[in-house]
Amino acid sequence: MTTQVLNFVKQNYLRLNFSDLAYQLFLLFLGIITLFLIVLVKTKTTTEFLSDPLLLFYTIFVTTFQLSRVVGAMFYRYSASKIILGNMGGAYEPSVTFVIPCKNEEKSITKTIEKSFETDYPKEKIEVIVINDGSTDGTINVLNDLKKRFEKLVVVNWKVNRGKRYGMAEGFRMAKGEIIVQLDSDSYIEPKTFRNLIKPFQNPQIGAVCAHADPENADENLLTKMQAAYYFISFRILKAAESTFFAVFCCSGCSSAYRKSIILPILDEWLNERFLGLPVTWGDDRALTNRVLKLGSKTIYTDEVQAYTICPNNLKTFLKQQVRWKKGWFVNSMFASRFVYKKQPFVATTYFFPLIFVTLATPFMATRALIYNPIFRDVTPLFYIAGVFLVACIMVLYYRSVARDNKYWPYVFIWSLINMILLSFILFYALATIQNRKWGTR
Amino acid sequence: MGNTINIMNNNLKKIKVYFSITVLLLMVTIFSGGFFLKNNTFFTTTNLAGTFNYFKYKTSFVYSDNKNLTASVISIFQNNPQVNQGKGKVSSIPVLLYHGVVDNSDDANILLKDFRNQMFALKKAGWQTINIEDFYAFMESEKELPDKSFLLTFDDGRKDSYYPVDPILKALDYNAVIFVITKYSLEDKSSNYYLSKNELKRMVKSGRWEIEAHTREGHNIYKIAQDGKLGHYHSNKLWLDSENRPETEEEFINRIKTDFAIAKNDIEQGLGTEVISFAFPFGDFGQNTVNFLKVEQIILDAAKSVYPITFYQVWPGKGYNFNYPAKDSFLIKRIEVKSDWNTEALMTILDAGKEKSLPYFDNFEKYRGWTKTWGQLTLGNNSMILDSNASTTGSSAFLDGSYLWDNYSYSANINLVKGRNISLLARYKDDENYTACNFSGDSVRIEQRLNNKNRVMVEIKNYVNFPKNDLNLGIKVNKDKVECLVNDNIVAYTYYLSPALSNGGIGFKIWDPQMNNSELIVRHVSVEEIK
Repeated sequence: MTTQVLNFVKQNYLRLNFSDLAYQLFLLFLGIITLFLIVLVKTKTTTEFLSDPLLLFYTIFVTTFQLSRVVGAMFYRYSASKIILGNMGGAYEPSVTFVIPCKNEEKSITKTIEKSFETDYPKEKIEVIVINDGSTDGTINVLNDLKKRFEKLVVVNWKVNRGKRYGMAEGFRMAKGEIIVQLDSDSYIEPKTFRNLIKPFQNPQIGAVCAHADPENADENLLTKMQAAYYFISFRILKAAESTFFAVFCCSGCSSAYRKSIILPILDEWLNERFLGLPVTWGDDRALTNRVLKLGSKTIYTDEVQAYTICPNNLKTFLKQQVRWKKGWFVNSMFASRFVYKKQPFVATTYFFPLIFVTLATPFMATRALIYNPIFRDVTPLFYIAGVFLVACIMVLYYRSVARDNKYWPYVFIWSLINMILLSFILFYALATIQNRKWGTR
Repeated sequence: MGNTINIMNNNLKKIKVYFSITVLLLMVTIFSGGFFLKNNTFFTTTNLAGTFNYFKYKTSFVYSDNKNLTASVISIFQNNPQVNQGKGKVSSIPVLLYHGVVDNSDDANILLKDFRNQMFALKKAGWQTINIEDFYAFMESEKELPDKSFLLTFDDGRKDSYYPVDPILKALDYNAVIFVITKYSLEDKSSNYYLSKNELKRMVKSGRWEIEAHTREGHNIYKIAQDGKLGHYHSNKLWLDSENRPETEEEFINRIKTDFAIAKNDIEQGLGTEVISFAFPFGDFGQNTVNFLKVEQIILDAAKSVYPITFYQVWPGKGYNFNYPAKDSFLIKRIEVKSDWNTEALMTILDAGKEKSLPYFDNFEKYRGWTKTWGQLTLGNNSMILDSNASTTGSSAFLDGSYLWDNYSYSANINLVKGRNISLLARYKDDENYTACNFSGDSVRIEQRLNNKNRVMVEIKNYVNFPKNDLNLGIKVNKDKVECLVNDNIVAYTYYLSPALSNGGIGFKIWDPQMNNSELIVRHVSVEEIK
């Protein structure tokens, strides 16, 4: 173990040049200071320990939980490096099928398909299936034109809209490839990094791999910049931390790869997913990943594949998307809670159930700290806000450490502020409207 | 392939262990760190602000003196700012009294800006604080102190006497005494207004603060009569509602003695420091009583049984602003710095209070310490005017800083505009202790006032009918001999002045039986020492 750690350190850190080393040490120094400040903020609750012991345990639990995500992410590279050893058996090049469901995407579908065919992979092993799910614009014309350019493009044309999930399922069934790459119609994978998405499947335990996605339209406005920051945190810290234990709970719908042999047997169950008697129309990706996990397969995230997607650029669409994601999270957490403690006991105790608890408790604690305490108990909300800010600081420091060139990190603070006062409450709106099953993607 | 899976899973186990250890360590760190730092005093906003202000004051103090910034910064790291404290031995010491130091001033509380300027000015002028043990030893004539020593005190034990002030004290190498209300500071818990026990402990530990007693609970006003009339705690018999009667004298004595004793005990037990003094709330040791006329001696006796010294605020008539060593110097005077005094006003008072040397000549070009004790006093225009108004029959004044003079000849050039009596005061200690030459239309009297008892030693009637303008009056005191002079001629004398009046300064007093009918213009004054 020690030699492995030493090798790992050698590979990852010792080849840093002086400026990088100084930079990393500086971040480490700031991290220690931030940690100290967190302890200092906690002393404020500690002083009220005798009158409010539960609160102290809660706040320390939550803070530790949030920091544990960064700790998990720190082990991610080491964990990922053990999935495949060396270059086993020369080139591993299974056949690959891209499945792209789309509806009214005449503008972006061309790029998605072009990039799929441009991938750095043997051309004869690539197949692209597009499901035109009842588009009412010129999508089908665009697809027909593209079909003339790419003979291996398969177009499924549905006159009537049936829903994304059906589109995906159709594509999965038709796919000839061993590995299925599911793309959103406005997403694409950087061709040069594509092979890294397939490589982990050499390990037979791997059932799904999630690519690292960033918004392509990040610079559009404040909202998209904020989302760019959040995407990075969400992929490179939260998903990476999940991936450390080979249990990513949501291989993002915009760009993930699945092993077809694992998907096909669960396709019908997934297609007919129901919650409280009604079909579920959101969280397709999360539902699929959870079913892969249920089978005992491993799901991972890889930061070696760069994908791009389009994120909402106006508040209304953004909030709608957030509500959909929260609903998806809730429904699938209920689903996963029935098997995760058996299949992944460690992940269940250190991450899965704590996350559910924290997510549900946060809106209450935020209301207490930001509204109830200042008004009724004359207690300042400053320390709560400081705590949230400091945890965001830790995230940002790690963010800066792994991605020195990513310029969106300041927006993490804005995100966490908005998250504190708005987004955590959206969960309740999502739960209140959970029986609204309109087909809500975009 | 199986090999890969094994390696992957074995590594996963290791990661789980390392992950768990790291996260547990984090949790333990936050938890124990929280408890460890719970009682920390360093990382509090107030303390960090204090440290910041300390550097700010230290730089600005040095910088205001020395415009070379580099030198200023360097001298921050030297222990003491450069000041020119007096080398000589001092014979009297002023005690300054403040309450809160605040952002919005009122009668009792001074602006931080003004306080800062006053302290800076004091330091620049060479004044240095002393601690209360040294002050007591000085008053008992057991210790000599350098020139320009003073005692800085704060009443009530409020947070806003400590937090804004401490960085200034630290920057100037000053220390202070704070008189606390022990019920609020040492018995009750967590007040937002009064300093807590922990804060007091920290203050003691800093070496800059000494904690003395202000009272246990007698800082409010209490019901002293059946009709609900309110009065001070230490100088009135309280009304006992339950028994529908006022306190008896015995109950009164027991009550105030208990308050004195518990206040001392609270501090000594709570902080482990020694308490030697008590500051009377409102400065009232009986003079403001409403319902207990002979209370003063009772209060003083009760206080004496617990404390070696007590403090009060001076008011007109109590004589000199500074404190001179004396046997049984039990009551210590304090100059209460009013919120509307500027720095100059304070410095003038302190300069005037310092002992003056003989010979002394004053033509009232600038302020030298003439202090009104009654009536009206106007200084300026190269003269000093004492007069009366519609509600007074006269006025009086003395020269601050003249207390230690003993054998001297004091003469004054005056115009008596109106009024029947004019007195030249000598060996003046306070309004209750002095001797005087009293000149009226056709007679001269030598008076001796001792403990407020007036005695006419000599009276010469129909001696002279002196002019009222450009008149030189004089009084000579030499050991037990007193002589009165008119235009340098001795008109009366006595050899029998009480030894209790062996020293004291000079003053004036005019009087007329009618209201608003006295006015004296003094053109110049001179005092020669008699060897």
